[in-house]
Amino acid sequence: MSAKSSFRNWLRHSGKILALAMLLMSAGLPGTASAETVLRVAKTSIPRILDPHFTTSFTERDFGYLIYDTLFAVDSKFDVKPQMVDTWSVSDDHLTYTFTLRDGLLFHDGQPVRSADCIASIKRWSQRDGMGERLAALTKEWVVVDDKTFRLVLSQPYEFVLATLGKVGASVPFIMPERVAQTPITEPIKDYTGSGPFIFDQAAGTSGVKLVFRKFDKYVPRKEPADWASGGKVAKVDRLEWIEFRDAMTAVNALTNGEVDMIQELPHDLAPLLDNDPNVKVMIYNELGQLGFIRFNFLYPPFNNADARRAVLLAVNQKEFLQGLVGNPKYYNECRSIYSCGSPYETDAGVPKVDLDEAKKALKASGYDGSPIVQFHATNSATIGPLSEVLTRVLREVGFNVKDEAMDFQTFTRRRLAQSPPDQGGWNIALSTWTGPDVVDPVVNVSLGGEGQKAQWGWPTMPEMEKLRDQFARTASMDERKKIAAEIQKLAYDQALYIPTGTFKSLAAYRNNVKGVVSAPAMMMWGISKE
Amino acid sequence: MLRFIFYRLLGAIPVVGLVSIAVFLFLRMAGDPVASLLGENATAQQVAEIRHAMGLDRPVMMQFLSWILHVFQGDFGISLVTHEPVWKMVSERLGATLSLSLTTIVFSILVAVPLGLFAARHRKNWIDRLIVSFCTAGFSVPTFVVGYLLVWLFSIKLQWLPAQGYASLDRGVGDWILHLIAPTIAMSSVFIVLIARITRAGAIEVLNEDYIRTARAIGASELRVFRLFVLRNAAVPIVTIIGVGIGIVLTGVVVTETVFNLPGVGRLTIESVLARDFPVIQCVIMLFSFTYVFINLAVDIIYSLLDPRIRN
Amino acid sequence: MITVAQNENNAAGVAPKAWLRRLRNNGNLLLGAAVLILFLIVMVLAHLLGAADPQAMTTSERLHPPSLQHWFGTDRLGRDIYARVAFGTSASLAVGAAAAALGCIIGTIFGLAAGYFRSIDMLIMRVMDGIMAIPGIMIAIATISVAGASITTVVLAIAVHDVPRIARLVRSSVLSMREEPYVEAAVMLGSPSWSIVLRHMLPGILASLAVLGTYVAANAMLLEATLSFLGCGLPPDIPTWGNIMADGRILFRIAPWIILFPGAVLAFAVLAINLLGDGLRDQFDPTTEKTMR
Repeated sequence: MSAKSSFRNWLRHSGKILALAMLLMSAGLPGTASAETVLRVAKTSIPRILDPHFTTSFTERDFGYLIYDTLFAVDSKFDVKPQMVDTWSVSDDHLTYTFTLRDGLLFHDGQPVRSADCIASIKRWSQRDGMGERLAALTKEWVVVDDKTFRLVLSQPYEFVLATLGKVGASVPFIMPERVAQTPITEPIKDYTGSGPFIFDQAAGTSGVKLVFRKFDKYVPRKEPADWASGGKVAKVDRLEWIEFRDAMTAVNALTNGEVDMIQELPHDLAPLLDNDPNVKVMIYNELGQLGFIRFNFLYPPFNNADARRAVLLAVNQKEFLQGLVGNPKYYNECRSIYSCGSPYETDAGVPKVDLDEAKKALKASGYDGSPIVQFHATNSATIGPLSEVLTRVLREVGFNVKDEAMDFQTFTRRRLAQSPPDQGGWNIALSTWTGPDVVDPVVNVSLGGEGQKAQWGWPTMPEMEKLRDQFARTASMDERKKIAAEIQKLAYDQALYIPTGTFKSLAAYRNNVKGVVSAPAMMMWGISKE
Repeated sequence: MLRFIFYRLLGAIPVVGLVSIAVFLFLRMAGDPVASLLGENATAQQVAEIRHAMGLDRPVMMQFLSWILHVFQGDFGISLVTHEPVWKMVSERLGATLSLSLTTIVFSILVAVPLGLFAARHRKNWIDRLIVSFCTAGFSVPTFVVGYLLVWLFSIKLQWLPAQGYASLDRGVGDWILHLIAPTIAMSSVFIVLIARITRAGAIEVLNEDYIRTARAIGASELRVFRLFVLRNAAVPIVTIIGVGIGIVLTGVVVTETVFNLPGVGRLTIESVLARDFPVIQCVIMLFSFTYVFINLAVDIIYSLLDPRIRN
Repeated sequence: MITVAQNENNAAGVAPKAWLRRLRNNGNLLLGAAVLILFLIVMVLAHLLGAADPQAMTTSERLHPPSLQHWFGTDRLGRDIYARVAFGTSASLAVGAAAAALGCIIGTIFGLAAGYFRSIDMLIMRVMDGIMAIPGIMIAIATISVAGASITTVVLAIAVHDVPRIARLVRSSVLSMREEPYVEAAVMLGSPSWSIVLRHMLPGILASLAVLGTYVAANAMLLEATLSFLGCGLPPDIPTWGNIMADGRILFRIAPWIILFPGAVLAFAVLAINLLGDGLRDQFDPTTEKTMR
């Protein structure tokens, strides 16, 4: 054996011994050789503000689902099921809802969950959330009947009470203890006592690096099997770690090497690396997926003109966007319905045909003078970045003079709110993403709003749209609702309100010893075990 | 000697002061952090409340004074993003960065000094030329490319090293070193080049001195000549380059920590800049600058110990 | 540490013949210049011939490995890496050259002022020390995050970092030149300050500036690539080598060509510029052998 290869052997062996030592050490502190199961999950970013009422980010919501519980929850058929609530009833005039909590609900500090906690939490949450605001506007009062029973009295009938309380898109109405929920919505909470299946162990982690959760032994799960956010949430690991990996490649390397057990949000292009790894499984964890959407600034030319918007609409071939971002057709589907495909309201009403020549004609009709338009572009987002690059190309093809303004995602979310003219820090066009549950119906989908300067960034003024959405919210019959939803979509496409660029499914990957990972719109960590 | 140290210390004060002012003003120019802090649905009143709570509505001069007073007490304020004390966030990340910087400096010197001396000794033949070209090339490859290649080779192909992450020392020295090997090599590539070049140049200069010729003439062995005279005299420029190079190390940690997912101050910097987390950025830049100033101070003092002529 | 300034007058004074002979033997200079000229040719050709559009997306041909059709392969949007690298040459070289020029100009102004007007020397040099104390990458990232990513800000952000080094060099040259008889004579004759500085001092430092300037340019190109890699570089619709590599960052194990080709080209260019710098130094100053930058 040559000296060189024996050195290599030595390295390999010592490496193995060290790795073994590492394994032993990571399995627990010396002495406590008990079989504590630790699930290490790699995430692109872990939340910095730990208050799911305060921000609308998806990681925040996932954090919320671990340590908090909700009154109602949606299952995989979009049905709203009671979660913390045991029984509920509604008066004949559809104005009074009465809720009774389940037995045995406890906060992590051992205190029982009371009606007052629920009311305070919903009140705090509804100050920030679009659907929450709508409910709050229609609410006459909340009444505590006893510790476990409370009542909601409305000023007029509203068909989305349960859907609002069981909302799965960010932000979610999580229930906190009353003392915590009294924190003003303008400042994030500092006390992370919840009543969910996991306890947040802040001291064990490091902000921005790792968050640590422990199983909450006293959590009483529902009897039904878990289904999306509803059903029996059973924590099956003793300790759960969220580790931040800004670089997805590094996360994949770590998974291959067994340094983490699971990756959330695996970029599609990296899936082939893991497909060939016998120790790892790749799965679609969110069938409803995410979708890109192109937003226009209605306040300034050229996109205050419907023809200019239509020019873009007619040129957007979803397949190009999806190919550019995802590549593998297994993981995407074209979806031109403004309600997430696979949801009850999916329709093809009003969808125009893609035609570049027609697009150019529309642009001509709009009287666009060739002055530069500002496109905001969040470069460090793995999804928005590439999609925006395709958009730039499409815009230039149609004949727009595009000024591509690059920025990071944080800045993007801030600067797109500026209503100033495009040459003074504002913008003309931008692309962002939703997750499927954010756009399941006309009420949830805030991109449809036409309230002018109060609407979502882009600020379209469309009173007829608002009238239709209001009508939808008061309608109880499913068939009626579907009809109105189709009408809304027709109007949206006719005015080129915004443009969806297609749905792509979210991937997760995990090692073979991880069991029980299920598809859901949010990453649900209950039911997952590690052997 | 004490006088020299005293005056050098005195000279560092204005630098530190200037950096503080620059850092403070520069980041205030960045605009209003409150809007991004509160998110999409914030009302004007909410914004005003937070601005007041953070003292952003006071005159800039007052903001600076109150900031610097707190800094002297070790209080760098509260992060705009996590709402945690800044110093806590930074100090949690110091371990990884300190470890990486330390191993990089030690490793670089261990490799580069012999390399430079070796090149100097074989000056003008192919060994020298090879080492010199290697050095010029080493300077030209971006650190992150080296990093990715190392991960691919040692963690994926050979599976000798962990692909990412950091193990603090209390989890055992072996684990600690194992996690630092690849990042250290990646970061050292530039530093080695720098030290090797300067060592070579210093050694060549010394080799031309008369006393070396004399030593050789009276029959001292090559090894002895190197050990006694060359290394000793070349030590001065080597110490200097460590002072200059500390800036390169601090730049290197930003990139290397990103590539290897090390939870250090460098990664915190990038995260904070992207999130416009002013207090954290201020703290990190101050920390890095002060490190630079004080390492250079230490270098000057060591320098003057090695070469007494400097003191005058 | 570069002490070519004192010898510059000699260099200019020697016979052209000797100078040429030295040039012929100056392998570093010739090789560096040759590679750079090659890059310039590629750049011009890329624009003239337009082998392929660097922005053309053919999403059906995404992530293709290098082939005859796509010499350097394609990226995730199906763009031709070779076309992008060729077109990127201009942007990357321009950033390097502009940052070096800007750094040299600002640095020279400060250096001349500090060296000549002793009253402000202390102030200027402390400010320079202050800038030097902040790691270059921090200055750059912070500047870009404040001012937004455009070519101007990126160049400026990179240049700032090099100003103190240049100022120091210029100042020390000026300080030594003040003692020279011809400068003293000019002072005695009552020439105005600006004329002394411009006529007598500036030419004396041009050679060392040229040497340092090449190193600054090389560093600037590396820094630009690093900034793009970290996500705070030039706008992504400008195909610089750094931006191309940033696109392939997470795909290193899937499509290594996206990083390796531009990375190699960048390394070659930086190497060439560094060689050019070494060569310039040897050319101006054949007697000493200094290897520090």
